[in-house]
Amino acid sequence: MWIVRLVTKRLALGVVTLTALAAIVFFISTLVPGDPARVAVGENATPDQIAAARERLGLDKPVVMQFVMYLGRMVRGDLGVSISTHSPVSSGLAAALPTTFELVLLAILLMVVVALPTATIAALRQGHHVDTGLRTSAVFAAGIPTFWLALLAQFILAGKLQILPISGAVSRQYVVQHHTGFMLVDSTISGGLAAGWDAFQHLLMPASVLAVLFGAQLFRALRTEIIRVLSREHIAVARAKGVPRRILVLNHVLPNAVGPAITILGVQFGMMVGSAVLVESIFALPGLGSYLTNAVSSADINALLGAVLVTGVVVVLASLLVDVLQALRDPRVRAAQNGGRR
Amino acid sequence: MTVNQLSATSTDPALQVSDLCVDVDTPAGRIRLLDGVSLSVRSGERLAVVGESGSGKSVMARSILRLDDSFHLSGSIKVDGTELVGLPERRMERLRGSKVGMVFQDPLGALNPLCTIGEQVTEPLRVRGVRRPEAERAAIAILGELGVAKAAQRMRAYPHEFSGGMRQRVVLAMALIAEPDLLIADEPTTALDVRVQEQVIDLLHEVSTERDLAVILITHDLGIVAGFAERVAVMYAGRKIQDDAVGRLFAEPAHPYARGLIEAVPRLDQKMQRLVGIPGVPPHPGARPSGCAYHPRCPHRMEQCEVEVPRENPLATGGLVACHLYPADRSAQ
Repeated sequence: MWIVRLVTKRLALGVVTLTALAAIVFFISTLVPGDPARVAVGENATPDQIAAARERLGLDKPVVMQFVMYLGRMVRGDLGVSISTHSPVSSGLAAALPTTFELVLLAILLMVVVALPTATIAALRQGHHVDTGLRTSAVFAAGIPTFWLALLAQFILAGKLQILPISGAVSRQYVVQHHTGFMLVDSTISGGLAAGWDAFQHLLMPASVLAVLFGAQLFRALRTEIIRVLSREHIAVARAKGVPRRILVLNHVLPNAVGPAITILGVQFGMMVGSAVLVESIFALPGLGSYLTNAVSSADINALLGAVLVTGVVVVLASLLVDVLQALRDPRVRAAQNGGRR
Repeated sequence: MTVNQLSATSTDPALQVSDLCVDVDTPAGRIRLLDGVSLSVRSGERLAVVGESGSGKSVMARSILRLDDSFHLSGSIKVDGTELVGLPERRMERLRGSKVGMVFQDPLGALNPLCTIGEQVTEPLRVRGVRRPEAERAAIAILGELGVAKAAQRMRAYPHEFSGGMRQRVVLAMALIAEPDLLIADEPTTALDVRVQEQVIDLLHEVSTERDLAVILITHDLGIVAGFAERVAVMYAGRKIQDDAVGRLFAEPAHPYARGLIEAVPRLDQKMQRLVGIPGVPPHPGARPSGCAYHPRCPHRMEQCEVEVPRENPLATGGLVACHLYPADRSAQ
């Protein structure tokens, strides 16, 4: 069965990727100035206390040993204890990850909902005013710095027009209990649809800001590919069969044209988690980005490694999802997975 | 088929093209790809359209179904009494496939790689509201008729699992399933190997006779023409220069270009020292010579040829030719 082969193959490759990633991050982090043991015990600690902390954290062992020990614990799901907060890194990440997921997934949804129809219209009207207008907008959108767009959006949408909340995950009036970690879900469970809608409004501006740059890239990739597919012979054949224009676009053009866009989305997913660091800090969202920023600023090696590793896992899973989607879309990819057998 | 139907269909031409011009806009300006072509095909007739690349034969084929939105058409294309030039796209969609079917050059490129054979063969019926089970029965029947073995199982296969010849059978099935009266085959064998070429041409011939289907075969291969067509139209630089019964054209080609083409075909039944070609190259559509476009390459050129476009005149032996060597008054004698 193609899907079993594909998933096992890609997961095995993912393990190799993640080990390499862990090694790179770990060894770079040992070069960063700042003594984690000193940070762990506080400013007024005695040299004895620092030495004790160093031993407790395993920092007196050789660097390679430290890494091997870390990998061993990692496999058991133990990412260590944060040096600055003294709580397990895994629980800190588990609390932060859903927020980032919500942000990135909503951004991707917005990107697809906007880019797919506009790219289709632009490609079908290639060279006309609609196309020129859309392409110019895309160039602008791809060129706007995200932090500036975020501040501008806050100034206009929240400050002047007051149609969206300026920052945060949910308004103070709603007490949100932890169920899934996903704010949209938890707020709806705790405070009903009104609270869910409130959380959605909070998420909408940061997600839109995140979506602009990546959506513009997606638009351009889609438009180019749709134009390419439109000139293919089987599109002319389908027209010659009497297939009406709407069905032609939906059944023949788009399924053939979304391949590169799916691959690009997979790559963008990882980059968007990276961009989320910036967006989360501007919009005061307690996500992976905020967690990562804290880890870096307090020389918290365990937290840093954990955050980067989890990001790596997410990227590996995203690329696996991309491969599965491409195989579902294209029978030739499935055939290749089965080693050329039909 | 009853005698009544037979007589009704044989009087009306399946296709009547009159003075068709096709222009296309390029960055260098508007270029005329097809320059006043008239052509008619009777129902059940097999017509071959031959010419070198760039002669406009494929442009004509694609223009009849109005497949290229960038083409500007003028003149008249009548299919079964309906004028296609200027027909609203909505009505054009209904007519494609059901009145006129088309087979293309590259059988792999002609199939959507993401859809099963079954989905693609049933599509002309499905878009016309035929229910899936019924459409599938029709598809299996026509695939079987066209020589696709185990058609029922192969409905679920994808194009990449088919060989070139099998793909062309599938393409033919798609073109025929909605039962058109006219089939346009645009170089259907160019991408296939010789043995498969023969099979596909035989198949086209068979289908044409069995269904009383008019076929226009676009090709540059005169070897195929001889065995397939009843009538041949020769195209050069966007114009039709000769139109004659296949036997007469091969025996005594009137137009110097047609003569050149036929002499350029290697023959096994005659001793030949070397292959004879036509000197020069066909003109680019954007830079066609004045008068008769063939005059720079023509061994019989006269002063008149450089200035005046020859009109199509009937030959004494039958057929039509556009050449100043055969003026209207002389051939009428």
